[in-house]
Amino acid sequence: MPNFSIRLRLIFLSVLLLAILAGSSALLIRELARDSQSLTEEASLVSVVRNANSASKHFGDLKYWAIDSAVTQLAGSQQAADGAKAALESDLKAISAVDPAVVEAIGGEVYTMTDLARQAGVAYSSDDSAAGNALLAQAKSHILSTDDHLDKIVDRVEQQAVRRRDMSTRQAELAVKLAIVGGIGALVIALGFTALTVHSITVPLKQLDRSIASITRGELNVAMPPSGVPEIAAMTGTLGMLRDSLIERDRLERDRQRAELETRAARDTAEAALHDLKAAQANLIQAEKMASLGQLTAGIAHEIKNPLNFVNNFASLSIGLVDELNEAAAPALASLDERRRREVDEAADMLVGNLRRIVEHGKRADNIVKSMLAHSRSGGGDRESVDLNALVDESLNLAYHGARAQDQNFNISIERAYCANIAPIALVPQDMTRVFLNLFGNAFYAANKRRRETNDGEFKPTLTVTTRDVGETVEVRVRDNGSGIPTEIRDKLFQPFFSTKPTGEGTGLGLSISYEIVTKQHRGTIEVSSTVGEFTEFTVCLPRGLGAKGAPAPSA
Amino acid sequence: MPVSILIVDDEADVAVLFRQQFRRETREGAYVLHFALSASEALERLAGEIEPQLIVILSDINMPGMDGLALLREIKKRRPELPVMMLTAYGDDERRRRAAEGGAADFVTKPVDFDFLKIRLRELHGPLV
Repeated sequence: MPNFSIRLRLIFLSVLLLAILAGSSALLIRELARDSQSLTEEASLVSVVRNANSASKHFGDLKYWAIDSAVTQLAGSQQAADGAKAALESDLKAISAVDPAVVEAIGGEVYTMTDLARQAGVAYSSDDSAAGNALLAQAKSHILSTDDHLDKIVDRVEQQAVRRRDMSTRQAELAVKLAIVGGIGALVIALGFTALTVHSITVPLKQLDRSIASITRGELNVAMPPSGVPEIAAMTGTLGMLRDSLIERDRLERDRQRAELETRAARDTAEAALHDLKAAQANLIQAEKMASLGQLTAGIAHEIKNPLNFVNNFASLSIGLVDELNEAAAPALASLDERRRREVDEAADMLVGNLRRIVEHGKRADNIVKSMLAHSRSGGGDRESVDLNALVDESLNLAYHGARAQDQNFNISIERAYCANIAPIALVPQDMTRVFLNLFGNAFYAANKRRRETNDGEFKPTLTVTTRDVGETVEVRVRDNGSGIPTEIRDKLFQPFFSTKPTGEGTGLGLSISYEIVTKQHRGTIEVSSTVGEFTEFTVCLPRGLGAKGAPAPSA
Repeated sequence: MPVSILIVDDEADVAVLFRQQFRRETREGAYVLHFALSASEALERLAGEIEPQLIVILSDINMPGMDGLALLREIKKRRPELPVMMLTAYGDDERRRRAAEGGAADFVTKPVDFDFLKIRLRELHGPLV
């Protein structure tokens, strides 16, 4: 159905129903009119029949009175005959429409018959009975003919009346059938159109209702049924807008939730970043502290180096001068008595001894100063691509034999856990050797110190050296089972001059120099983990990234 | 026949040390020691006459004003044939490399090993008379 509005549909339906009503009424009116016409016609036919019968009767009167008048010559008979004749003529006039030719013929016959009867009367009055009889006989033949005609007409009129009645009856039956069929047809059509119209309105309304119910339940992906009915289409459109706004609302809600999640994730990321930043800051502060301590150390060393050189040079020079003095003064000394000469010799020997001590301690100080100066040297040196395991093992052997040479009782069991197939790494071999020597030396010292302190045969000093290839970096772990490092001094480990060894045994520079070599020169990291009474483990991580070129570290 | 040695160092005590260490050699007339307290003073001395013949300059590296390595370049411009030995308290690779590039005959770290220094001087000039 085209896109007609509900109003138009209802107007169409009303118009249609009215049209059907009007049509069926018109039909019935037409049939009724036809029936009434038939009845009228039937009624006129009845009057014709009556007239025809009346004509027969009046003709009977006429023929009787005409013959009677002819025979009797009575004036009354003649009057009766004339009256009958007038009535007959009136009747004939009334039925002439049925068959004008026959009626005219009857009129002729009647005229002839009356004329013959009058002539016969004339004959009889003249007593010519024979002529009268003959004339009457002639008249009788016309009477017979007229009777015949009249019978025919009456028959015909009656037949016509019967036919007309039958026809009227059939017409009335037809009209009733037509009225029933037409009524039913009109009813069916009216009901059909009504149903169609109602259907055309209710179906989209039901669809709309289902859509509304779906949306109310929250099923927003429901399709909006297209509708040919403008009002429903408008409602569907409004519902569609509602649904779209709900979908939009849901989408906004989802967006909001997602944004909230993202915000939360961003906040977490930011917090993690802040945490990392704080850690990095702490590391940076530590590195800065170490760097400035290193600079300070090197600076002090620079300042001490020259005066110390003079001390050493003049002290060793003075030993020679004492010899020269002894040589030059020998003759004079020989003249002295035994006691005085011994005193001079003794003083000279003490002087030489003191000078030797100055030289010896000066050299010790010089070694310390040289170590201190190593802080300013890190960054120099050429990188070479080396096999880390070989370098570590070489340092380990050097450290072990060095320790054995110093202390006959020294012993330690060494576990090597080298990772096979570590690709060569670029580093400064002599400096890294220094780092490893220092770490191994410290580990040996710690493990043996514990052995000495526990004084129990059960304890077995052990050193574990582990190398690992972690892709971008390589890792060396040096672990001893000494007594561990208390937490409170762990922060100071890498500071220059921090030492736990007795005075004279350690300079406190080993780890600080190692720290500089690893972190500054090799851009690596060195970390310590320890549990007091169990172990100490140093972990050195060296990045491969720098390659053989190696960005030079800022020199201190 | 004596020869001259010029020692350049901003520390005045270096002169005392060298005079004492070379007491025997100067007394025997092998070496005459000359001292300059700065690179500019050394260049002035070099511009004038140094008697007897100057065979070597020993120079410290760390000095105020012109340092030893700059002095080395100046000397090499003026007297390319004259050997220059660098003396320094800091024997790091960087200084060694720069000294060698500048044409230093030797690189001696302080405290100076005078026995070694005397051997090197004899190698430069030949055995003492």
